[in-house]
Amino acid sequence: MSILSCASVSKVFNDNGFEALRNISMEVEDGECVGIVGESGSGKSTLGSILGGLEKPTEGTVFYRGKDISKLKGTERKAFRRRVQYIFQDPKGAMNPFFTLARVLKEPLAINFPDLSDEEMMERAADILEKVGLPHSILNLHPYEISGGEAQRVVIARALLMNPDVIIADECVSALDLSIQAEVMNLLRHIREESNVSFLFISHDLDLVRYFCDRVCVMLHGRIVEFLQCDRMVEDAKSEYTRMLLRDAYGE
Amino acid sequence: MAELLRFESLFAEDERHTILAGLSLHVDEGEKVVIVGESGCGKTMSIGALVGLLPDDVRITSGSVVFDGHAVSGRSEDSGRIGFVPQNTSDSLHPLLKVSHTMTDPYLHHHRKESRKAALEKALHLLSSLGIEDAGRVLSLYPWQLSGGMKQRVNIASALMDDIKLLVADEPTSALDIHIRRQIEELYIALAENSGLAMLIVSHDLGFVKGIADRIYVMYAGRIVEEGTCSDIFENPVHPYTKALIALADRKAREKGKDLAEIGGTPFVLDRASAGCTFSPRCSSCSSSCIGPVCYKQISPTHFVRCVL
Repeated sequence: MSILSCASVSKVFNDNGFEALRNISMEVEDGECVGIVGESGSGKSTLGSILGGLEKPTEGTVFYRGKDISKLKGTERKAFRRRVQYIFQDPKGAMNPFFTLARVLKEPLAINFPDLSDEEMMERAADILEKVGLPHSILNLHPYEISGGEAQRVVIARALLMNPDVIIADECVSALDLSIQAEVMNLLRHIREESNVSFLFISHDLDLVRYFCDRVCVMLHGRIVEFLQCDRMVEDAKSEYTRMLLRDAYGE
Repeated sequence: MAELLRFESLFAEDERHTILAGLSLHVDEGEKVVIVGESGCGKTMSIGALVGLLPDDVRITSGSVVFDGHAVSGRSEDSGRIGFVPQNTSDSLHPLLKVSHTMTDPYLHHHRKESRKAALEKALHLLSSLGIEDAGRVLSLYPWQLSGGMKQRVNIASALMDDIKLLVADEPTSALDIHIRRQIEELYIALAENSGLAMLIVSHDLGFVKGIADRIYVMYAGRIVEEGTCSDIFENPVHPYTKALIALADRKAREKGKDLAEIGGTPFVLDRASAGCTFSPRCSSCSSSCIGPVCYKQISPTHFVRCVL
């Protein structure tokens, strides 16, 4: 059974009537990593936030483990919120600037695991920092005191604390330098190897998607152009648009 | 060719850190020069020192920037001869001004005898030459009505309005998605080939650098660690940092299921004076000789490196 999927999802923004998505159906299997590529404005992020439950589709349904997420209630809804985690493009924008990083990490723990004592929460926060390769001393700092690469690791750590099934990563390395990008990608790859977490990896970097994902969904103007296996992308690409993306990424 | 721009051992600092630690570089007339390096190495600050856009708390402690025979000190005569395309193109366009005003106001400020009509014609011509088909309509739009690629073109066109000798661009393609990025890169390469303008470009996109640069400076921790022609740097890199940057950008080496190449460590923060190599804490070929002073060695007439190895 697919872990996260959607059927005939469309999204029209009410304020200007813009149709961001039209009739999208896709699924992410358990442990699978699906990439979404396309240019700015193609609907990648809108699809990601609808699948993650951050936005409601105008039409269509999103399923988490086979259940319609709009009908989830109580503990089931809370579990969905906890098990589907999001990593954003701008890590500092995803943290409260007035919080220390200790508080940034502890807040979701306090909400989702109310039985934990303060010491237990600090222990978990320290453990997870080790996993993402950050020193404990960073816990006393504020978001503005750390670099972009460190901030993205903190956001990844915060997502991992929730023990997620699915991580939706929206352009999570595109704002970073190549060297930091490589470090964060290696971290994500190790997370994939060590746990069975599925990924929805949204990016405009086709080569990075090929490197990281099993399957890729190519989007253009709010529609799916085609689905491809990442290791057969060049051979299988049928649409002219995908071929153009391949040319942009690899040259002629 | 005559020298157009020279940075001579420029030092700059803010309250906490040294930002530029003896930056020296030069650009000849008509030459296309690129500075590469990671975030935080001082690339943007060196551009700031040239165009007079350093943050308030950063001050230059010694050294000089000379443009066309004069020390740069934010004189308005200079600003008409250096075109600048900033990194964050969205923030650099005034949100309440139409493109027509954004493009013509600075020009008319420098050329008080020109008419608005002539300036608008020039703007129209420039936008068309940068591949904007309905340039007349674009002139009547506000920044929020433009796409990212369009904003970038408007910024380039604005920089070209005056009769400039040097075009300075800070990460001209990094904020764009890949297809638009290729288009803007092609635009810069065409401009480089056809205009005879000197260019000083900051970039970390090595693919683009390869296509446009006559000479490349590799910057680390506020100073140049290697300089050379495009082929010196790409075919015969000497500094371990340069080699690492090239390895990072090598897409063919990315193998599924294997780690990507990374440099490791964190970029050096210059909070103290250091005689030795500032890259040594991250360097895989570091030895005991790296603690001592490092001089800038010449390898060939065009190729220099700051490394003891």
